[in-house]
Amino acid sequence: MKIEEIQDIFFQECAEGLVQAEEGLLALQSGSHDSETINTIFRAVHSIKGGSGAFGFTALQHFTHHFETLLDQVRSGDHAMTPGLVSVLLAGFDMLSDHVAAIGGEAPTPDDADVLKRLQDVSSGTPAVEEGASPVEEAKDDAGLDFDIAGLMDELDDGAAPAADWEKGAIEEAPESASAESTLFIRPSRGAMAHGGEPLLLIRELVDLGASVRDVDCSALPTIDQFDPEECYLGWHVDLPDAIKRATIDEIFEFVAEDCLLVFDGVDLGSVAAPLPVEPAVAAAPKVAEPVKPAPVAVVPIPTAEPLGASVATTVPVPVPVPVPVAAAEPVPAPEDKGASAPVGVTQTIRVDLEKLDRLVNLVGELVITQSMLAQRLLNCGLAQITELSDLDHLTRELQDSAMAIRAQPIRSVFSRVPRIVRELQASTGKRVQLDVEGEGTELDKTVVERIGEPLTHLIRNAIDHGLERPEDRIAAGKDPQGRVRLSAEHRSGRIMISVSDDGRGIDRERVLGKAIERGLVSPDARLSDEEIDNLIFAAGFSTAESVSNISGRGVGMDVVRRNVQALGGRISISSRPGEGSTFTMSLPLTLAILDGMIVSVGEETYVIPLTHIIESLRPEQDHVKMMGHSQPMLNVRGTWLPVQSVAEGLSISGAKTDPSDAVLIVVESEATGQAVLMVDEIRDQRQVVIKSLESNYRQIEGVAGATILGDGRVALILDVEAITSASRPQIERSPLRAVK
Amino acid sequence: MTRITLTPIMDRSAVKAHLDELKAAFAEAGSIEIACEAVEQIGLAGLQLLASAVRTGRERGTGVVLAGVGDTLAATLKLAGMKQILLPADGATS
Repeated sequence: MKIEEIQDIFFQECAEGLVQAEEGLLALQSGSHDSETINTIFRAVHSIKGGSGAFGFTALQHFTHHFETLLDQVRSGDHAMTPGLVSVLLAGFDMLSDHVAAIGGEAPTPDDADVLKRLQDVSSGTPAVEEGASPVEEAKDDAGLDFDIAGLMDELDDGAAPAADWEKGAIEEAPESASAESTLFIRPSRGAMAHGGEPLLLIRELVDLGASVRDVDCSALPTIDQFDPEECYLGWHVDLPDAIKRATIDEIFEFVAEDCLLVFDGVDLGSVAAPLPVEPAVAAAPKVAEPVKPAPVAVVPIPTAEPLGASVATTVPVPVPVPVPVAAAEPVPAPEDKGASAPVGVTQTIRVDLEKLDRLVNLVGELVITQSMLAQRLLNCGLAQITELSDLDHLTRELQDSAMAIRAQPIRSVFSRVPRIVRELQASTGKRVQLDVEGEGTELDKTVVERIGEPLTHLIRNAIDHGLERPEDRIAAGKDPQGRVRLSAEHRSGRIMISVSDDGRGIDRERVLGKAIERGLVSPDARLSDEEIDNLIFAAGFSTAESVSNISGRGVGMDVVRRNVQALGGRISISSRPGEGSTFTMSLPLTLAILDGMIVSVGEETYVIPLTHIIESLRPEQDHVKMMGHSQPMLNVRGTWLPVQSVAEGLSISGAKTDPSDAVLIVVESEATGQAVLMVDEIRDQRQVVIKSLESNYRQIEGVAGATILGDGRVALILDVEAITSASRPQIERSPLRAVK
Repeated sequence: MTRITLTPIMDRSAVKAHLDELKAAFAEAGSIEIACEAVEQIGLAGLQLLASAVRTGRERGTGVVLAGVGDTLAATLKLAGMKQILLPADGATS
């Protein structure tokens, strides 16, 4: 594996670590102060620090070192968990995120001086990490204590950094084994230090997690004449607290399992280790010590079936000096569940070049088209019912689903940026905000994930900056001084719905309408519904630097937000109640490549209506359609009158049917307009189609979402149901949606 | 008395060099003082060398003293569970 590939894995681990750390910090912020939460944050930062040193990211390493120092003090109970401390930790996290972005080339190296000072100020306000430790000791760098791995030597930073807090966990201060839930005996193989291996790193990692070294087995250590610097002679008994899960042990030793004997508790392993056959060196007295008799050791290989249970991935029959009686001969009970030996939570992954993935998706798209054309030709030959064609259809569909699933990513990566935005806005506006996030595991196409960040950020900013009132105003309004912003994602009807809600003052419709009339976006005598007024904020040119409503005026207007969402094949809608808040909902396709559609004909033209919008289709009875006014037909659908929109009329198609009772009516539903009825000549088919962008090949057309190639080779336009039904709504003299260019 | 001064970076190559020095020192008469003041970084190989030297001294009746053990070395000994063994008097010997 190339170093770049290893580094990429590190970047990936950094991203995962940041997610874990932020989740933990948000839990702290919400009042969850349990030790596991703090440990999780610590481990995440610790892992990033370790990798940063290995890859020479000194700025990141330096920062994480100080961040880790404070976190370790926190988990040791040196600091009370106060809002102020949480704030400092969150600031540290934000800076850590910036550093990680910098090493990934996404941003310049941040200036972390202020945040570092905050971290250090809090750290230095605590007692010395070790009893009796001097300030000088505190100034030592735990990285500087590190080991002689050649590759790391140059990267270890100066000796002026704070002390290693893991000192506290070492044997002198350890609460002995009384509180330990289990014991781990570790004996690296003789060759464990070959190729730069450093067993002390494993010990250190365990100690970092709260383990303590009970004793060290030096019985295999030779005298100086037989000493080989390349060999490992020691073994350790380590007491493990309950907090250290088995999976964590597996993870730590994952890459050295073949080079290390591990024995978990269950039997008393204390007698395995012979005491060091030397007495402590006497400090100042250069006297000749009494000769020490060699310990009565017998070097015997440990039978492979013995202390190692299924829990140890691979064992090496390392010669272990065993005093008589040979306690190690006692078999360690095998774990009850053999399956438990498998590393927990390990998911196999493979990194694939995105271009290859996109090519696969494109080829699948072409396959869909070819399959469709084949079906059409067979149909023309009267062979539409053959089994193989049906099988091919199923397989093609499964292949499509699988290919698209490869591109699917959880929206967590986008949502994870929001807490920081909220924190920054809280600081800049003085408002207090509680952020609730739901559905961050919801998956959607990678492209959508990548491009939804900007509009989402804008919506969040609007919700806090303009939607929420100031604390004093909220109190005056009888509200909690802390505003709430809710961010959610969910799958619904084959689409993903992302909502941003606030419990602020809601849209000031009077002012919005007044400004729209002033700007000529709406005629002065227009009578608009509340929903239509709300949608005016999406009109191009409506938003300016001047704050005209509670959700406008931030340079980039809401029209840009809507345009970005539309470019993804999505829609955005608003729901607002005065004094109670607003909700912006983005409805996005799961994929940008394929959709299920109904093939319809209008005049001589063929169109595709996305099935996600279709509720039902019908041929109406004569008395089911009534005229409202002179030109608006309405369809009675089980007691509800819905407006009928002629697709031919909307798209200026001649030769199409004009009498609803003679045509096919399709009941559709959209986010913005609710239910409506589209009138077409006839339904020809229903199938998956591959979406071809109209914008990239031609230009955006109102009422058309894209194009596709049908089985007979003809190009068909995919209808933009929302745009068509919005334009058809009565009483709208000037639809805001017309603002799209 | 033979004095051996450990290098600041006690990596594998330094350990090999000091091993030769120790072998030579044990071949001579008299006690051995291992000066640890300069040690900034040390790994398991270095710790094992020190422990081996102490053990050898015990077995052969040669005095072996670790002198000037600083914080860095003490911390690493502590991590490895060897502090009580090699530094019984709470810290550096001198």
